[in-house]
Amino acid sequence: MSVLCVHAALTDAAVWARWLLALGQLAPTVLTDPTLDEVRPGFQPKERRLTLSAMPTPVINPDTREQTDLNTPWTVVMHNDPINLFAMVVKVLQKVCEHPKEKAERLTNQIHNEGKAVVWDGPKEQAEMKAHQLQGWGLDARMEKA
Amino acid sequence: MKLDIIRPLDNGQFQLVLPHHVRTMFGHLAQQLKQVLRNEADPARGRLVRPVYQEDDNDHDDDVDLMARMMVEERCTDVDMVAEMMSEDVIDAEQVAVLAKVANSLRLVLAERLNMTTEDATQVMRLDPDPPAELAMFDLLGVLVAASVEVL
Repeated sequence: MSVLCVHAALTDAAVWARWLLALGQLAPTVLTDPTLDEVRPGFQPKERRLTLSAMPTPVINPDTREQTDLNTPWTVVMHNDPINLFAMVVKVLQKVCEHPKEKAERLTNQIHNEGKAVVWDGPKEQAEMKAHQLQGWGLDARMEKA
Repeated sequence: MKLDIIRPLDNGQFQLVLPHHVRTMFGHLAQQLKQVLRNEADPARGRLVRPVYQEDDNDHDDDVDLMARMMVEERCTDVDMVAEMMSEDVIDAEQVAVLAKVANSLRLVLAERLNMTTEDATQVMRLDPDPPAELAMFDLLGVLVAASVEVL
């Protein structure tokens, strides 16, 4: 997760001016051109995204388990993606998983620091729906047997 | 610093404060997002639509048949909603949420195309006085996502 702070020293007008000046050069097929990184050589390939094998075993948050049936067998595990903003992840966990803000922040920190966290557990069908709802926000949510 | 992009109104709705040029560009990008979502061979789609089930092929196949395709179409509907939104000055909370989702999806696709993280982009935007257009768009989208989730 990331926190935006790039424009801290600029005025609104200066930020917009900088964006609009640069956006004039935006390629018309910027999203659908798979070779974009080849024409923008300033970005070197990086392996910053955590791989599954490098990730620690998820720790099931005790608070999460208290709210759901202890015998239910599925968990929703959210994996870190360095594109998603910290504040967005917190808000989505509040909305989709109905966690209080403090718990959403704690889980978001865990995802950021440890690579993943169990954000919800419960019956399979509900877990599946939660995972899809989280993915709808662009978050990397997957299901695992508890 | 917070840019005044989504301004809460007294009636519970929100004023969308975006220049015309950016609205046009955003609507155009959103339509490209639909192409990415529907192209199963596009690697960037894998950043948007991930396998929910990791451990069981049968569960995975069922999920793709029953849920995943439906969710993709739902996201395409969100894209259409955002394209319409770009001609509106006042939007409601549901539209703000959709705007945030689509803007974040656009960021994910750009990041995949450019093979970068938010931190990479932040560093270039901080140091380069003449940043590439794709980074400027990525940056703007990030501010739009942040502004959206803040008012939700």
